[in-house]
Amino acid sequence: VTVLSANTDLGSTTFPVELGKVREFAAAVLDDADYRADSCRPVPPTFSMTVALWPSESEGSQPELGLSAGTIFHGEQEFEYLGDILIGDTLTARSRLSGISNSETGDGQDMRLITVESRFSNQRGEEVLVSRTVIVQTGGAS
Amino acid sequence: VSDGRVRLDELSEGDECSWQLPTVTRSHFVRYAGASGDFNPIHHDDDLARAAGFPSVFAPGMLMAGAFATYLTNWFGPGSLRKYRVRFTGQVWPNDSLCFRAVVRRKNGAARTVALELSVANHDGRTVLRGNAVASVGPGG
Repeated sequence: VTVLSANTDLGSTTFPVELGKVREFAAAVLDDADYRADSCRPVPPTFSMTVALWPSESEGSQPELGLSAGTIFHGEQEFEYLGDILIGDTLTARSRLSGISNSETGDGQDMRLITVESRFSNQRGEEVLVSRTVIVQTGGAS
Repeated sequence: VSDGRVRLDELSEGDECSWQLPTVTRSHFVRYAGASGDFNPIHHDDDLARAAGFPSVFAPGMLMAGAFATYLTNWFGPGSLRKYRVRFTGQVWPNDSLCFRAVVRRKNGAARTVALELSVANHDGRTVLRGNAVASVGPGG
């Protein structure tokens, strides 16, 4: 049994911001801008979601949250933009469990709100993005 | 400057902008799943979705959040968002039509930013997403 506690380190992952992936993601979010390898156009604002589910390369990972897929859903998502993310950048995301709270759904079921914060830095060590994901777990939350 | 972006002097508190997505389809869901890497089957496997008690697959929330970010980027320009927050308040089903609406709630002339209130409603008027954003806006003039 995984014991969840706020501030648990969920590890980090490093990934390249590739033109093909940016174009594929842009098309999926109805963005018809002409992304090019040498363009200075920042990637779509929610592009970082493409790494949210990547397995962590270091200690700790999302599966260790002990969540079963049938009972969780994405409740909220928040981004703070601190700098541009460009094609060709290499980003490192460090994630931690930043909050756990218990609440009730509209129809009185117990639910648990789990917040994962990821901080993204580029290849120059500049922090460019903070992402917070609120996962809602219902039924069997303990 | 005629790059098509809105300028600060063109905006007032209470202004609003809206965009329509006439028909949401399973193709939107699948394309988003592939592009994002979020392969939760509840968004593409109808048999599984029905077994879980839903009438059909439904849209990944970040599809609407991503599309909304695209509309805001088209309005304010690439890289203009400073903060963006969304809360998913209802499911979006295949063949829903959606209206995305952004209202200027505050305008900060010194910081050259606007604070926006965001919502997405389906054709029944049910709100499926609420959010807010802060965008940097060019000075204009």
